This record gives sequence, C-alpha cells and structure tokens, in this order.
Amino acid sequence: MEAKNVYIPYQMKIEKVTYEAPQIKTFKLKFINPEDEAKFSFKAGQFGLYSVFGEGESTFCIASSPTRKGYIECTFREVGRVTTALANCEEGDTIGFRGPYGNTFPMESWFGKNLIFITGGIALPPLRCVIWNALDWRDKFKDIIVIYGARTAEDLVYKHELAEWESRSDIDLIQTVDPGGETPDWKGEVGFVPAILEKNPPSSENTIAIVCGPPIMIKLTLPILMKLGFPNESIFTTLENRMKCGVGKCGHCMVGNNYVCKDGPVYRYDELLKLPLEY
Amino acid sequence: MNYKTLNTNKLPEFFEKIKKTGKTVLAPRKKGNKTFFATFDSFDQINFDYVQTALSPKSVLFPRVEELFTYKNDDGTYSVKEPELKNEVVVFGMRPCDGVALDYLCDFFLNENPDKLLQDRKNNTTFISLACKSFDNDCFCTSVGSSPAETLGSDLCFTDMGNGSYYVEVVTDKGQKLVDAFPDLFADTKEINKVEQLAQVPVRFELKNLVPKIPTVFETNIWLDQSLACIGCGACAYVCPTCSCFDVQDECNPKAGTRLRCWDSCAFGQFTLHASGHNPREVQSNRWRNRVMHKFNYSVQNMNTISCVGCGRCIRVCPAGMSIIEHLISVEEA
Amino acid sequence: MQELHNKIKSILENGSASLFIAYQKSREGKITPTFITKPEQSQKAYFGDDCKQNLAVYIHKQEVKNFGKVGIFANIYTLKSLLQIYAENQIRDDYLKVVTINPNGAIVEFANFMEIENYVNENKPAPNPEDMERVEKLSNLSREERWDYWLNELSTCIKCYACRAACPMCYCTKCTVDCNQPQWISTPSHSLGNIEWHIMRAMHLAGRCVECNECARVCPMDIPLNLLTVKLNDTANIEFGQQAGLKGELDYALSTFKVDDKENFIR
Ligand code: SF4
Ligand code: SF4
Ligand code: SF4
Ligand code: SF4
Ligand code: FES
Repeated sequence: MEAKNVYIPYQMKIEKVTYEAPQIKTFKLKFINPEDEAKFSFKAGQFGLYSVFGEGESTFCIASSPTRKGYIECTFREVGRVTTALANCEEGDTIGFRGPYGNTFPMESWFGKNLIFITGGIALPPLRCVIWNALDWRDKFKDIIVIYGARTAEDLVYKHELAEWESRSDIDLIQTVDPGGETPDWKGEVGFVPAILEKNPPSSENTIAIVCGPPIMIKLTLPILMKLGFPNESIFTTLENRMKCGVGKCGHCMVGNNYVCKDGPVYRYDELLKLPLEY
Repeated sequence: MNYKTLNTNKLPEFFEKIKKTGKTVLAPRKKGNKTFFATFDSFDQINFDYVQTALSPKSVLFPRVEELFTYKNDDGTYSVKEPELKNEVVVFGMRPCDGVALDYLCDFFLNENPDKLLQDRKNNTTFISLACKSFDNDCFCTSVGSSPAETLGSDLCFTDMGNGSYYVEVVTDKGQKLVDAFPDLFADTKEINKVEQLAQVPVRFELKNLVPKIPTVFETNIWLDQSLACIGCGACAYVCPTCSCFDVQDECNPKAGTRLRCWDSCAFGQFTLHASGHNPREVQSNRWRNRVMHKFNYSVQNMNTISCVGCGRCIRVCPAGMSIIEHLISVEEA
Repeated sequence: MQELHNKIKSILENGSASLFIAYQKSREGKITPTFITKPEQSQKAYFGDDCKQNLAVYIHKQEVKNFGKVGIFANIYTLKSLLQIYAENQIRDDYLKVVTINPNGAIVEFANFMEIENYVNENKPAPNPEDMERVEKLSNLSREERWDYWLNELSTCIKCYACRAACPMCYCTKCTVDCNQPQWISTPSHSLGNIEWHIMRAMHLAGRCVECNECARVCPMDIPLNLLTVKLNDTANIEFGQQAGLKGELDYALSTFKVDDKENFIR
C-alpha cells in the first residue's frame, strides 16, 4: 500500500476572525486548494491540528457543523506558543490544517431522543458543532437543551449565537455564570453548572447527555446525572489529552491502551470508566 | 528460506562491494566503552567484540530528528516540499532481538495510518543480524519469546560457525537480492543446526504468568516502590528499539522552515502535560507504570504482542540502576 | 556496614527521618539507590567504592519530598552537592539528616550544614587526574580545533537529558530547554540544537558544578561533558574565587554584580 505523508497540512485561508471572549478567538477557514476542499469531509466530534508555519501545531476540535459545507471553524484560547502565533494571524493569512482525526459522536443513534448538552467555558466549541448539527437535522430529535456556564458573562463564547438560541423555540438554552461573574443586566442563572443542572433537572427518559467541560465540572456533574437516572450508556464526553500527531503514533495522547486521537476523543461514559484515570 | 555460507575473510570484500553500489554500510564501531552503529572507512574499524550496541538500529528507520517537510514562504504563500528518501542503507551486526524489535516497530508504524517516511526508509534498508555468541546479565530475550536463533525482522541472519565461515539465513526477498548481487561471495548450503554456536541465555521469568498478572497490579504501590530511584531521564526510551514516541517541532527563518519530529519519552514529566497545567501522569511512578504497561499490556491489547524484546539496553543505560528484569520478576512474585 | 545499618535504623526509629536514602546492591547485582522506610530494612544499605551515583538528586523529587523528613547517606560529592543546594536556598537544615563514612571508615552524622561545610573542607576530594589531563589537552588546542572537537562530540547527543536528570544542581522545575515562549533552545537533537543545549547547560553550571561527574557517567553516548563544567569551574575560581560545594553561604558569582568585578571578558 502506498503510504502518504500525513504530516503535510492543508493550507487554509483565514476568512474571518471573531473575537469571542478575552484571549479566545474563532477562525473561519477556507481551503486554498479546491481539490483539498472537494476531498474533505468530517463528522461531529472530530478534531484537527492547526498550525502556524514556523511555530508548530496545536490540536482543537472543528467547531462548525459538518452540515455547513465549504468552510470549517475553530475556536481557541491563547495559551501557548502556537495558539499565541495563531491569535496574531489576521484575516487573509494562511495557516495549516490537518485532519479530520478521531472518532465521532454517534448522532444517528440518537435519532428520536432528547438531547441535553452540559458544558462550561471553552468546552462549548466541540459541542457547538454537535448542537448546530442537531439543529440542522431538527426533526430527527425531540427536545434539545443546552446548559452552558462560564466564569463571567464576559467569558461566554459565541455570544451572538447564544442570543440566537435564546430566541429560538426549538432549543432550550440555560446560561449561567459563576457567582460574582454576572453583569448588572445579566438575565441568566448565577451558579456553577452542576448546581444549575440540579435546579433544572432534565428527565433521563429517552435522553442523551453530552457533557464537556473542565475536569472539575465533569466530576461534579456526573453524580447528578446518575441521580437523575441517566445510565452510563446515555452519557457522552470528550477527552483533551496532549496530542502531537493525531494519527496514533506519537504516544502523547495515550490513556491506557487507548490513543485518544484515534480511539477518542468522544467517549461514552461506560467506555471511559474502563480506562485508567490518566486524562 | 534459503541458506548460504560466506567465508569470514570475505566479509571486507562483501562490504566494499556493497559500498561500490552506492549504498551506505553501517556496522558496530567502538566509542569509549560503548559500541554504536556507524559508517566506516576501513574494515578494522568494525568492532566484533560487543554484546549489544548502546543505541538500537531503530534510528535507521526512525531517526532521532527527522524532517517531516520543508516549506518556503513567499510573502504569505507557502510552498511545501516532502523529503525524498533515496539513500540506500545496509545495517550489519544488529542482534536477533533487534530484528524482532524492528518487526514490531514496522508493524506499529505501518499497519494503521501507515507512515510514509518510515515506509520509505524501510524499503531502502537491508538489515543483517549477527547472531549472539555471548550475552550479559541484562540480556533476557529468551524470557520474552525470542532467542539468539531468532530471524524474524532480519533480512539476512549471519551466524559465525567458528570454522571460518558465516552461516547465512536468507530471511526476506530483500536479503535474497543482496546475496544475489554478489554470487561469487556466497555458496549454497542446506539448513544447518546453528544453536550450538549461539549464546544460551537463561530464562528469567515466565511470560505467560506475567502478562495476565500485570494489569491486575495497576492500582498497587508496586510502581512507586520500583520507581523511587527513577530520575525521569528519557534514556531508557531513547535506547529502546521498540519505543516509538516522538514530538513535532517547527524551525524556521522568515523565508523558509522545517517541521521536524524528534524522539520523546513517556518518562519526561512534560510528556503528558496539558496546556492548562493539568498533568494526567502527575508523578514519576505513573510514568514508570506507563512504560511497563505499554510494553507488556497495552501492546498486547492493541497489537497482540508484547513490545519488549529483552535487549537489555534500558537496564545498561539507566543512571539509577533500574532493571526491568528485576521489576518484572517482582511483579510476577507480587 | 553494620554500623551504617544501625545508624539508619536508629534514625528511622527515633523519627528524625521517615525515609532514608542509601545505596544497595540489587537482586541483579547493580548498585542502585534504596529508599528505606522501615527500621528493619536498614540492612539493605550498602557502601563501597562502586557507589558512584550522586544521591543528592533525589531530594528534589516530589515523591521523596512527600515523605517529609529525609535521611540520606552521602559520599563526598553528594555532601558537596547538598551544601551547594543549601547555599542556593533550596533545602532547609531541619529537613535533612545527613550521614557519611569518613576516610577511617567511621560513621559521621551531621547535625547541620555548618558541620558539613567543615567536613567537606577537611576532606576535599582531589581533582580527577584523568579529567585534568583532558582539560589541559583541550585548553592547549587552538580555538578552532577545540570548537571542532566539541562540535564532533556534541553532534552525537541524543537529547535524552539523562545528564540533566542525574545532576543534583539541575533542579529547575522548568528548564530553559522546556520553555517555548520564546523557544530559547531548539528542541531537536541536530547539531545546532545540541550546541545550544550544551552551551546553556554548561553556563548554568559554571562555578556550581561539584564535579561528581554524574553527567558523563550517565551519558548513553559517552560524551565527556563534565569537562565543560570542570573547565568553567576553573574559570569561575580564577576570576571570582568561587568554588562549588564548599560553602553554606554564598553570593553566586554569575548572578551577583560587584563594582570590582573584572570586565576583561568584554571585548
Ligand atoms: S533510564 Fe532509568 S532513570 Fe532514566 S527514565 Fe529510564 S528508568 Fe528512569
Ligand atoms: S524495554 Fe528495555 S529490554 Fe525491552 S526492548 Fe526496550 S530497551 Fe530492550
Ligand atoms: S509510551 Fe513510553 S514506553 Fe511506550 S513507546 Fe512511548 S516512550 Fe516507549
Ligand atoms: S546524557 Fe548525553 S546524550 Fe543525553 S542529553 Fe546529556 S549529553 Fe546528550
Ligand atoms: S496524538 Fe499522537 S498518538 Fe495520539
């Protein structure tokens, strides 16, 4: 079999830069080479490696929905060498992208069910992909609920879209900020995500819960879902281990025998429980 | 398999003839007290008196630093160039355990999402192993399913028969090609029992007991006890013929640059460190456990084979005297 | 050996340490560090000329610190390292219980770092004649020849960082080579990256290296990299009168400015 050098990235033009929150930006990216675009497809949950030539690669999810063709979006926080270099890029600049990598949310198996998304801070982007995907296939699902929290009102990402979801009747959005993070005109909840979930308990009947957020949020959310009667098989999350290759070779992302980059990043909770706590 | 013999005094001629065809020949050479694979100008620079080389031959397929691609930046327009790997190499004098290791390494890199660079290098390389006549305390190939008689992963396997000739097992087509290129050097022979010529390496632990046992001690203190001495250098992984972990790094000037990969090791604290500061393998005992688990459990789950070939390099190199043999025995006894 | 065993036993029994670090001969016959937590395990400890590893490196290790008070059996280089680490304010007097064997074979237990300072000054190890000879030889080469020599030696470095990990003076939680904003040192082990790493490493140890030669001992590639720091020590001594591991109180020459500092290196 003729192998291909998978490390050569697609070249992408930054079509649009959106400021989301302090140190958080969204890029809308278009393929420079139309052949690349024609070949490319992905599914909700997958990720890629984004690179600034000369600075290196950084891993994050594809934050746009696979139902929206012709471009991809990514949202990232400026934390290291590569993300800082990315943040310094402007509209019209070229960056590298390779992917899509990893497994996907099994959305087809959720048809006919209620979906509840529980997420915090910078963990909304991976779920935003799924949420838009679900909204674009709206008649396939029953109720869609989103509980989203951030430290402060300012730290919420996709503010314009949150407003849109807020005004739509086919999606139920509950926004919250940590105590002290509210602004005078804040209309959402105040409190940590797990507490807000407890206050607005969803029915576990025929419902899939998708939980994505900082480890502490996940740790406190799971027992509440258990109490509400969610079976492990109905809870999904994603892992974000350090990644260098994306193709199951570099070893960085390993959790037990799992390569998060190819066996993940999406895990059903009962599968996650089989892995050692190395994430 | 085909069998040949080669007069030992014809070996220099064999190498010279290979070099004349434009191939690079690597053979064991001494530096200080250690032996490394290196190019040589004259035959007498080759060292035949070694148990095992300090570094494994994996670097021929998976170099410690390797270009993934280069690019030029012309005012924001990038042109990317893939490396072309043309150099043909013959490696002489690796041990049979290294062949087994290379077989694993190639399986790992080429079976799923095949790695082009490694594939190219593999196509360009012929590996000749030299079966062991001696061993040391750190050798344990026979405990992990191989032995000095193993030919898996070698293209040709040479055994010094002690009678002025090498017995040559032609293991692969690539090996056959090399032998066929110099018909006047090699003579045909039948299969010979070589075992008497080879080192008798004692079995140190029962692999079939150990492998099922290892996952059962995952949550115990055994890893802390074993690894308090570990200073978290990456040496064991760097010398290990089956360790495959790497990092990806960019280097550039404003006009051009390179994306490189370089060896990495799960012994380093930074290896799993998240950008957030969270580290899933917080302390050295977690990292040591990962090393042993990978070799003796995760590989079994993922590839149906352990990924330690008993070459002993990690033991010889360890600054703290850690011995994987000892630690496996203590798991077996636990 | 019995005396050493008794000493460790009593230290663990009277609670002046909950972990004692010493050498042992392992089942495989290797000299390895041993970490004794129970008095009855004290007879595991071993000492001989073959005990080369500098055990001071372990006092930086988180899993060792977790034990609280630690006892340590120190050869002369380990003593020098501990003293230098103390002078650099990295350990407290009451955290460590240090034990050695003096040249007459008697066990010495130190009450504090003052005593260690006195001891190492009375028992200064002589410089290794072989190393002195090699340094001398290299010093006599021309600048270009010397550069070529090191370029050649260092080009083989595989950047396993065993030298860094084994060195008790390399205790930074984030080493310069691990910084990537900016990327001071290029990570790959090509010639340039290796030279950068070794210049940086040697400079950071100039006048701090206690000459235990661990770095060279542990190097899988047999690079005599101790010669770099031995030479720089010499310079630090000539220029600033500073020697590593002999004083418990110290203004480190390379991080201290004095008005009368020589400026003859500025050309
Ligand atoms: S070589 Fe030894 S000290 Fe270094 S990481 Fe491996 S086990 Fe630990
Ligand atoms: S783990 Fe050690 S003995 Fe096993 S293959 Fe690797 S270096 Fe050799
Ligand atoms: S994870 Fe560790 S043991 Fe496994 S291949 Fe990588 S460096 Fe080697
Ligand atoms: S121990 Fe040797 S090979 Fe490893 S980083 Fe240091 S000098 Fe380089
Ligand atoms: S990111 Fe390299 S193995 Fe998963």
